[in-house]
Amino acid sequence: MREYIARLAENSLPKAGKVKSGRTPHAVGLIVAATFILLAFSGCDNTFSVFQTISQEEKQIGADLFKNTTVRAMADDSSNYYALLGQVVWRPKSTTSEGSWDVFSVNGSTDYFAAGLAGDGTNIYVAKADGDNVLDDIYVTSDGGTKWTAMNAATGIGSDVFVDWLKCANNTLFVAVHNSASKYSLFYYDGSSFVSAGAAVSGIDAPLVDILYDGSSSYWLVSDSKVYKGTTLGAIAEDSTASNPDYDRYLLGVASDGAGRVIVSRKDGYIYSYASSVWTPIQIKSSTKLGPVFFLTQPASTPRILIGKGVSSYGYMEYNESTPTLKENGSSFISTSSSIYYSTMLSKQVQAFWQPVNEYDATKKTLFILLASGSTDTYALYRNDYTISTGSWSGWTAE
Amino acid sequence: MSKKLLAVIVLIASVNALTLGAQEKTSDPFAAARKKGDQSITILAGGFIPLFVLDNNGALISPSNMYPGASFGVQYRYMLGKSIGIGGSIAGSFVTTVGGGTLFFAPIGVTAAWIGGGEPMEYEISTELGMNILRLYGNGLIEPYAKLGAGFSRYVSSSWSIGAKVSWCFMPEFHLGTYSSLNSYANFLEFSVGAVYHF
Repeated sequence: MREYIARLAENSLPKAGKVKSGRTPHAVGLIVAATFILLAFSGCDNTFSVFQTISQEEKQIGADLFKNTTVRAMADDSSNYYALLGQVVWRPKSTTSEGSWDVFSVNGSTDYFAAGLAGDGTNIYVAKADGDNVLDDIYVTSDGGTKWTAMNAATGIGSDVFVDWLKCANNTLFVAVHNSASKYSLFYYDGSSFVSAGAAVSGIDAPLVDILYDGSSSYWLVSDSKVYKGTTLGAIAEDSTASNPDYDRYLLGVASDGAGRVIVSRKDGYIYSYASSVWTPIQIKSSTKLGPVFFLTQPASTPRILIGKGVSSYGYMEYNESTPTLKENGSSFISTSSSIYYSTMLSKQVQAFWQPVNEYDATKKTLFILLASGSTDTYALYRNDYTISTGSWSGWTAE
Repeated sequence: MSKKLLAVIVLIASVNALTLGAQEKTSDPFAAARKKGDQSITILAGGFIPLFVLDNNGALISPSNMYPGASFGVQYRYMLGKSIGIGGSIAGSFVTTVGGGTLFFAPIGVTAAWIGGGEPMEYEISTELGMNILRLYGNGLIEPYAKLGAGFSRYVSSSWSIGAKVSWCFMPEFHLGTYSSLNSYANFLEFSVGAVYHF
């Protein structure tokens, strides 16, 4: 046997001239063994357990409506949740999530394409469009869809525009659109008609990303290249504060803590934080494309910033400013286990984080994560409930 | 005439004897099987069933949250004698998880087997040791593994046999230092059918 092994090892070596004459079959065996050992320890994450990770998984059973789709926006009133897919779907807040979502009838019809959804806690706005995403009209209901009012949006916005998104900020409805020449504009509803949000945000070249009210005095709008600010509706203009995050095609999201502070995420791994009239860059992860951002004020003592990842694994990161600490892959903070994170978020691009205006259960705070369809056969909408009394999160559960 | 007849009878008898001899030889096409130096390559495919997982303290991790999957493998064997063979194995397996994930295994190891039985049926008891590449949700581990199996096969020609095999697979994962609490010891049952090419 020893002869055979020696012969086998000899035959397996490269031809003469490529092998040092002193190398023996034992040396080859040692090299192979060392390679295995090296691979075993260099290729592994010592903190990741395959089998214990799997043992923490939970079976996710959500509504089939959320499979192989993208959830682009959410809204709520006192009774219902609404989510924007190709149409608007809804469920009562009082029911369990599984299977209770259904297509929302807008202005008496369930046969429509919805280009935008927004809500202020009372009113639900839905932008209907044709198959090419050209605006038909925006409809509003304040009684859960029983009665609808057409807002005659095309009169103020135009009839040849494509709706990008709807958003309510400080109880004002904003509409972002672009035309066939790829010029982007922002409008708002002044109570009777749609008017331009400002000359600086009318017919610009950069797509508009999002708008919010900072809870103090200003509306903040970001395109993918610039930050805009305005204290008066109709007068939103470029932010001229020094060291702002402006950079062509770099801006990805904006969020506020509701108390005057604003953060903007960028493609280069930085978020820019605005407070007390000063922009401050914070490196979240070196050279890593980020995504949408969200201020999470639960728990109040150590609020976190949630940041979508723009890299191929997608999902999100959790940043604790007080430490500061960055957590990835569901390792801590709001994810109860990395396994649940992996089995729900992996390879899914975050569209937005969202919390309802009206909490159905006063003992909890609810967080939703809106996801793109991705490459896995998982759902596009998950909920995570924070119990105020215990300070604990329930973990992501499919809607 | 009688001599001629005798000669014909002898000739016919000789031809018959030669023919029968040849037939008798070809009716045992496996006579040369299982001797030192024989080699074979086996291709196997079948199921891969999670049995149980133990944690660092030897306690059962329940539920394991794994569903049955499938396996595929290729083995090489060299006979050291009539009953003992050694070789190598490379395989791929997967199981699915309750959360919709897929756990992949890619074990690469050395094998040793005792082969018994008469022809055309053969029986074997085999063992396998090596390194196992595990991959779950983009995370990978390389860990040792061991298999203990039993099977049978039947020759269908002088070069090919087909058979079935069942193996118990011990697939531990080890972690260092403060993470040693993550050590786990997983056990699977692999059953497969396969074809063996002898040369």
